[in-house]
Amino acid sequence: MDESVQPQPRVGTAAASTAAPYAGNPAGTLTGLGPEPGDDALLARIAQGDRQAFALLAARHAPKAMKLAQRVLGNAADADEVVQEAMLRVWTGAKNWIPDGRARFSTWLHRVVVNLCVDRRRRPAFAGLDGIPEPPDPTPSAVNVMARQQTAKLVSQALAELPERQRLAVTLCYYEERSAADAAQILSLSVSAVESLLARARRALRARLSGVVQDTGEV
Amino acid sequence: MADREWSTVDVEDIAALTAVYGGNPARWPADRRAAAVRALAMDGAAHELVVNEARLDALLSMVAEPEISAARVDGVVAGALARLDAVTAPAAKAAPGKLDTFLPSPFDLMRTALSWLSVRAPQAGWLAGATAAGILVGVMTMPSATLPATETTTAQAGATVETAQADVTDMPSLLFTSYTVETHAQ
Repeated sequence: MDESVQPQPRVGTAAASTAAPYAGNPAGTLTGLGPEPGDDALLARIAQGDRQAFALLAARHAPKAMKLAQRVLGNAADADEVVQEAMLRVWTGAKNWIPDGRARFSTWLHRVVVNLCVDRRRRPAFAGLDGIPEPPDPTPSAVNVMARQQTAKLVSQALAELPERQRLAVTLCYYEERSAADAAQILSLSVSAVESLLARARRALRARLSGVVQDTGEV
Repeated sequence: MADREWSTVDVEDIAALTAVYGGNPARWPADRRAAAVRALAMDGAAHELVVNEARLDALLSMVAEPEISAARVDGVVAGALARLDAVTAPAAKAAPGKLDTFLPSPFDLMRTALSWLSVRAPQAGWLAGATAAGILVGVMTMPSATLPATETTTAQAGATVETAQADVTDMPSLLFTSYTVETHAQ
């Protein structure tokens, strides 16, 4: 599952050395560009070593990429690291970006993020603080909340137990609200393959959550 | 599912659609959504299918959405900016057009082989590393192997090939000293 744009390191330019450091959300005003420069324009600037353009593009796309990574990895710290690594690949691979209007930058970025997440999941896991469940609230009024949390936990567990590609397909199409065509691009699959993954995933989830069905009457 | 016209759909189509995309018509592909929604209004069995899948959707939606704070985003972006120089540095070192850019050194090959082994079979990686180190130590500490200062061979066409390596007296020198061959025509 290699991303199509292979990162090529580039030598720093004068623009890179004089760019202002990032301090919070960038204002979005770059010399020679409008107030809301498009992704392609920013990538062209990044290819020339423009750090300000990089900061703007990264800040624009990081939230969604982080959300995707956290859904796949189930861990905020790992998700942040993965997205940071993906952003570095944007920096090194920007010169290979062809702005032909067909490929969307966000699709390419999410493809990189998914690949990095898959690589990271294959490493030995470290049981961090994120794996420790929240202590239950002892107040009686919290019973319904706890029941809901318990159900959510079962659903999360059922999702985590899905085969990797099925889980990725559900994450992209259901939680990230990507179309099957977008998910197919991100996963380097055909649309029919993604639809097949989704169907199998839903079948497996229904089987795993059959107990929840009887308890809650949801399914 | 994608290679047909979707002007009309039946219950089987709805079943296939909901099995993939669930019970929320907003998630259905645009090319078949309108026809499927029309069919729902007229077919009770299709409606029942959609309701069943919507229940599973409801369960899936109970999973909390990850919270991405502005501070986290700033941290990721600032961290990436701080690492830009580190990822740019290798490009400055690798001058294009030089042969050594593309040919790995023996040490690179050994390092790659060891890392490959250590990933796939950690014990084998350690064993291979220890073996390589042992061979290297053995070679470096081998007693001096005295070679003739000058070795002369008569070539076919009456030429004499003379190897000039008077300083080479032991195996490490033989391995790590450049070897010079001089040819003298008689």
